[in-house]
Amino acid sequence: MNGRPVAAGLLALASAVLAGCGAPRAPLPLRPEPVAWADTLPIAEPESREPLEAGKILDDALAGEVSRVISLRRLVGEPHEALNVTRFDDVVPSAWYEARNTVRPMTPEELFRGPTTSAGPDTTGPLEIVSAKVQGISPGFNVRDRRGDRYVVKFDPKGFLHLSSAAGVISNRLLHAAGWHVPEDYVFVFSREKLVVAEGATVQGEDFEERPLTLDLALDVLALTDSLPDGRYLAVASKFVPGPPKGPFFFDGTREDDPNDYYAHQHRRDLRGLYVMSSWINHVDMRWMNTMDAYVAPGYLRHYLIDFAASLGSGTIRPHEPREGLEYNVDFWASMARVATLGFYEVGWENRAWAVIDPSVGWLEAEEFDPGRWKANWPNAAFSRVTARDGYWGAKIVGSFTDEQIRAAVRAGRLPTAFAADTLARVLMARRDRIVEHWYRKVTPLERIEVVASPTAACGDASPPASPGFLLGFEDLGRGAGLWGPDAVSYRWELEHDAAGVSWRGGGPGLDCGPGEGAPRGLAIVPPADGTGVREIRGRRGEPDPVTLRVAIELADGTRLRPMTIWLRWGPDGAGYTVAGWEH
Amino acid sequence: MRALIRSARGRSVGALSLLLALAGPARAQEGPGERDEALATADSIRAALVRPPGEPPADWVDVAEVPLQVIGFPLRLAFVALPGWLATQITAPRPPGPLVRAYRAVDAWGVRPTIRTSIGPRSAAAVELQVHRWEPFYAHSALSRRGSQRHRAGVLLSGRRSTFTAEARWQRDAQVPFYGIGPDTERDRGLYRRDYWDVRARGGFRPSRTWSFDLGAGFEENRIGDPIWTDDTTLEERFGASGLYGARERTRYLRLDGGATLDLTGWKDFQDRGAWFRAQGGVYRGVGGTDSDFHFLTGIAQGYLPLNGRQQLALRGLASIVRADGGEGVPFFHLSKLGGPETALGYPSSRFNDNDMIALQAEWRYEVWRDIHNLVRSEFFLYFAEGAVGRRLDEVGSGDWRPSYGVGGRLAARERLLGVAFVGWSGEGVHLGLRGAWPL
Repeated sequence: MNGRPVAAGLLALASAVLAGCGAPRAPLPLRPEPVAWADTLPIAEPESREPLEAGKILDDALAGEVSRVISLRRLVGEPHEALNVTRFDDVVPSAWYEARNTVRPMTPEELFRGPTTSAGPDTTGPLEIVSAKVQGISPGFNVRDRRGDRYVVKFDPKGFLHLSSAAGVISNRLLHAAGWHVPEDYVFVFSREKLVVAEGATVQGEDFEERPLTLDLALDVLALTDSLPDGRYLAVASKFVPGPPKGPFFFDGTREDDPNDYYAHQHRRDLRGLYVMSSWINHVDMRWMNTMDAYVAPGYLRHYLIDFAASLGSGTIRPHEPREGLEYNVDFWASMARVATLGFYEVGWENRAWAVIDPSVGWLEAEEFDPGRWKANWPNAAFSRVTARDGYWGAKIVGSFTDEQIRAAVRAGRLPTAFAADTLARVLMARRDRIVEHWYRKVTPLERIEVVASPTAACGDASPPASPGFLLGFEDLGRGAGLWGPDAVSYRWELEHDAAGVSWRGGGPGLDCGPGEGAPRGLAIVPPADGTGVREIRGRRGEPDPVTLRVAIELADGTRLRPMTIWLRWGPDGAGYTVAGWEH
Repeated sequence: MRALIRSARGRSVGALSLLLALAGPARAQEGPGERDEALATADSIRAALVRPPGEPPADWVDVAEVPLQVIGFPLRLAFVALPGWLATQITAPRPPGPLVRAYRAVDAWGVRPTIRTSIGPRSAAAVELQVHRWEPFYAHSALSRRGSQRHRAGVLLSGRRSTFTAEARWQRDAQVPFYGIGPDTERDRGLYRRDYWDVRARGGFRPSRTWSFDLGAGFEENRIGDPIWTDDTTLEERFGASGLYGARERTRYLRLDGGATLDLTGWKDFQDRGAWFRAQGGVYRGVGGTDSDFHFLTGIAQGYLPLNGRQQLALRGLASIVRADGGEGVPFFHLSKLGGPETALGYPSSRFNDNDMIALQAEWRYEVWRDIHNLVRSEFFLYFAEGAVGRRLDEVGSGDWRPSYGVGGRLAARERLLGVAFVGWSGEGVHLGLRGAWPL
């Protein structure tokens, strides 16, 4: 019921019986790690694919949702964690994702530019329309500028100038800074007189017959939008990604004709974590139709997210409505609940009064935004498998954006008024804070964990623990985000070495020392006063079996966050412990 | 590439990454002759990679879920895979096949093949050819699965406020059920065939948005016979038919009828609102040896009451009176009828027959889903109706009322109904149905 055929279930049964169901997973430092850029090895050029929508929607909306809710794995609380994670609960750079702002904070100017390499389509010469989409919900055309660059050009709905163009470009900048691959999107202003039809351009009619494209036919698209006061037109221009497009990627399974595609997509951290990013920018249309695989040099598939018009306050052809973000387009269980209760089951959005912030912004709010309950418009196999660790990973990305960076991204949307830009930026900041607060409380959010080699120097007056005790340094992201202060938190720890029969426990408010800036903390890990276990630990220094240290944050109100596990090993030179890895 | 690797967290990038950075892409940039070698090198590197598993290893939960998988497989096949495949085939953006091209060609010429859910009482689905090449003249010819036929030709003139239709028709209702007359008839029925032809003219006038009037006149000739394409009990076998006027004799009538409609409904926030009324009456005068005169009156009132943005109550009252004015009286097939979605969902069509009929219907609707573009919505509904037939309405007693229940779903594109699927039940059983029109 979880998407695999019966045969897979029977195979699982056989393998599990053979392997021994109760076998514990190897400690994380002993497990193999993902390899950076492993999916950029050259492959034979795949065929382009154009999956059909209806069957996939039904599969996601009905089978996927039914399976998810009645899943035994969900009921017993044994979710599959993401597979492509490193020993430090992170991902490696790949054809899917490449950390940017979390690795090196981008300047506001870099945020503003995003993935772009120019100022957009060159309007000093004619803009050749090479093809047009004159029907459908979001008509537009493809143009070629004087430089020969090709763009997909789409317009705002009538009465809502800037709505989808600004949303698309702002989300493009934020997703790029976060690390996902996106095309170069521009807010683009042009005169109608610049448009010409390229020689041999055709348009496909409803009968699928190709007909010569005329300028009048292409310009029909302009009747569906508003012009600027000076008569020019505003649109979003999305530059063709390098390399031939090979169709979308799905959020589950792997692509058979891509040997580089190794991890099942629903178990990729970078796709599960995208849920948090999508919830931040309210990208309710984050689904396979808005993705694209491109065969890029030197010959591998890079996986792009495209078309962000249905994000922030924009629903592409109108402002977003309160349901979006809270319920799927076809929400099987919500619908069943309403029918079964004769409509008495109601959710908050059903009778909610709402009004657009501004026609250029649409509708987006932060007050009732619940990051853990946000939903895209369609179920998504990766999003529905998000665990606390995945969510926290995504929240770290969202939390990495400063107010200044957000304002820079919003500036790229070229909203018409300071009110619109300021309001949108403030809503994004508030949603970011809600995300950070929600997900950082789901785990013990410690990062940059290390055994402080020279505790005296690092901690000032703090006394270093005597060996075999040690000082654990880390950055408490919750404290850094202002979720709790130094006096409202204590760190409970438990060190275990099963092979040696050692179990130490302790806790305290921590020390004001540790690595880096922000909110450094230090924690003295010391053996019990009676020295239990000291000899055993020392006697097994050569063993490969790592030592397990569990640390949990305990807040002043008694809340104990989910403990994280840190694995330690003796350094190769026998100098003491080193951190071998962690998971939240 | 190396710069990218450096930009990643050093601890996450192993020596193999460097190998990938240097060996893979560099080779791929070489000439086409060396492409195969590059791909083979890449394959060998991929094979040498030691990584976490690409799929989660099986655990006890997978084992425990095997029964669920076994149960779920046929369900998934029936409710997801097959409908999904069908939906994909139907909605696939692809050039039309030869059948579609042929359909479009004949339609463009002026002949439109059509499938209809009904062309008359218990007709079942039918195919119809509609000739519209010489508009405003038209000709339609239909044949149903149960042998019913309908052939008609005429002219339809439409103006801004008025319409005029003149039509000649021959129709065969091949398997019409009859259960007897009165409120206490048995469930056993007899089937009959009704062949009739008529010519009629009808004019409509709409002086305002709310009011409309129509007036028509015509001639009809009816013949009753045994049903065709069935071995079911016939009318003759069930009732002997000797006491039913019109069952054995040919009847011919001149008729005149008219009606007035007051439409106070409106469309707001995705719901019908307001009320709708119609009164209709007519007289039938026997001619050509038919000694039978009668008249009829029908009144319908409908109201739509929004309960909130997603819930609505639809109410309908309907009364029909048929009275003999002389001669042999009213032929049995022109009596008032109770049953079917028009009056009582839980009963088959024409289940009860008598001079007079009254039906009260209530439907609670709940909007379960609406698409993001506000174009299509689906509604769940609960239906309840009470209805009665009798010789005269004032003689209908409390024991004559027949309750009927229903539940179903509707799919609508704004104000246009696309389809209704329902289950109706009564003391006499359950009826499933799929319709493209709905009285409420």
